Amino acid sequence: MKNWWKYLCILLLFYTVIMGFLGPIPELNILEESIRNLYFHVPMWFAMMTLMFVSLVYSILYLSNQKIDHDIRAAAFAKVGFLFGLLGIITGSVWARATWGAWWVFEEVKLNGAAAALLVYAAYFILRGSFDDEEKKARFSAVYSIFAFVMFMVLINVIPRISNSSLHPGNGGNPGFNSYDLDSNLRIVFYPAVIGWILLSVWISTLLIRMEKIFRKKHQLDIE
Amino acid sequence: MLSAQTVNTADKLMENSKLNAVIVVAAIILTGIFVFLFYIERKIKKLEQEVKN
Repeated sequence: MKNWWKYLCILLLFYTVIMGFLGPIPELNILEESIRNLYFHVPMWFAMMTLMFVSLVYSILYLSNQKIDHDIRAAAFAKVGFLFGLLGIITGSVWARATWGAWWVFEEVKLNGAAAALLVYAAYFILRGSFDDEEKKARFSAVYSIFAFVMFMVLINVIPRISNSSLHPGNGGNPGFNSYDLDSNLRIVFYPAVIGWILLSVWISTLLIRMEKIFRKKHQLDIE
Repeated sequence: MLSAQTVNTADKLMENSKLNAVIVVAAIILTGIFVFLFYIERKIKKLEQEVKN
């Protein structure tokens, strides 16, 4: 059946929540039980990266063949991607308060990168909102979407890795979460969790797309 | 006895330093979210059928 991946999503997320709390974890200083956030906070960002990439693909597709369907998809994936980014930054803040002692650390390069990336995408939506003409809207936002994704990758994946002073795992000389997920106890929940959360974000995006298309069709039928 | 049954469930919830209570809560929330998603799915499918006709 064509909804198999939705059932897989449900299965993986229940597994994540149950094993996420019950599963064994390594003994880590400072982090203690909060390492379990690895199964929730981190996948939010993987979901955002996946969705923004898919949005980019549809943007490029739109530029090459002008099908408005591609613009609808690009916008929907970006919207949900932005939502997951918001969730990622809020959950990160909660985790930071518990481990670094502060809700936000202004000198922290990864945090600045994440916040800046969200602003870059907020600008994408503002840009879209400024157009009345559908075709212009689609074209300009498709072009912006390319810059946005490149900046997104640079801001959260490149610059933080270059920095030599950071609190965030994976940056500034800290062991990356790679060395956390080298612990096989963490890995057996983390990988399914990433897939589950990505599937959920895709599911929500597809619902948005279908809604948008119905609204458009209904609108056209009402005019006639 | 009914009271014996309720005590059993409550006892299970309080095991594991009451972490079980958290898991059940999270599972309930998750279930709620999925129920909502399926509800939206059905609504959309209905609208899609409407528009097709």
